[in-house]
Amino acid sequence: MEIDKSLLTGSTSMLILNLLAEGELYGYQMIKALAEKSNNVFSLKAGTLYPLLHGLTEQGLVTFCEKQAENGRVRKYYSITPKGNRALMDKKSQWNTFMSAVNRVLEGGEGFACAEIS
Amino acid sequence: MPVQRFLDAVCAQIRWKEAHKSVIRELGNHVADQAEAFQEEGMEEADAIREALREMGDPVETGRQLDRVYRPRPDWRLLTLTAALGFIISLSAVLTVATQSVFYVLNNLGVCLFDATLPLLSYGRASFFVNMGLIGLMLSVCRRSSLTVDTPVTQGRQGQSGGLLRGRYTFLKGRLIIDMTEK
Repeated sequence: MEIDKSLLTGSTSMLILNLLAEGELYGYQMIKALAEKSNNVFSLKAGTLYPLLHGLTEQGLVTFCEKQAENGRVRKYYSITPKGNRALMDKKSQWNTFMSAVNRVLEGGEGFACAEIS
Repeated sequence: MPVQRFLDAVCAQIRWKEAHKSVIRELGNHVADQAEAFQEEGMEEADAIREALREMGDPVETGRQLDRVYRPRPDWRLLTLTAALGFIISLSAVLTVATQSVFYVLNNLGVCLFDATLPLLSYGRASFFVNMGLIGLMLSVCRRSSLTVDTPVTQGRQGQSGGLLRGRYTFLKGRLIIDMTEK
């Protein structure tokens, strides 16, 4: 299913932080993991991912270390910082508030119960 | 080579040159990883590279976004510090005029210190104007008529010669007249 792009902006950094909360990854792995976990709904372009990652690094939400792979390539592995973890919690709760509100409006009351459980 | 062209197009947008090397390596690795994956799926090398580049997205837009991340920003802590220092120095300048005493020595010493810190901010001789502006402001508050201050200008980044700038500040009919000469 094609997803309207404007729905994704803003939540992408939350998705990235969430991926990194599970362990360190380099950019290529993040795109693959995101596509896999979302059943190919999210196909993030590298041109979007790297500016985002570098921005998160500048904000101190993620950090990176460089490691040499067996094929000689030096990879930048990103990982989440404690500050990033706090930001992730915050973004998640905002997202849940937003989603429950949308559901309430769309489904006229039914979504309220669903959102409360999640 | 199309990959190099892509990387060059990205970097052309990033004004902070120090970021170029790591961006080239990171994005270059990404294209290589993606192209390898396509080749494993049975694509020809050239097709794999072309397809991998297409998946990267627009290089100009990518470069612009990265440039936004690395845009030079003023260091507010350092700026506040120098502003505070400047204020203290200006205060001593006013006291100099008021008392013509030992504060004159302190003031010139302070001005030297102030100007020594400003080139760190790569302001070059802007330090002179900042200094004079502050002193002028303090003077106008005190309604004194004139003051001459020498400001040492330290070696600038663009190879400006170091030297001494002499500024004379005269208040005439409520207007501040700034006159400066280089020694």
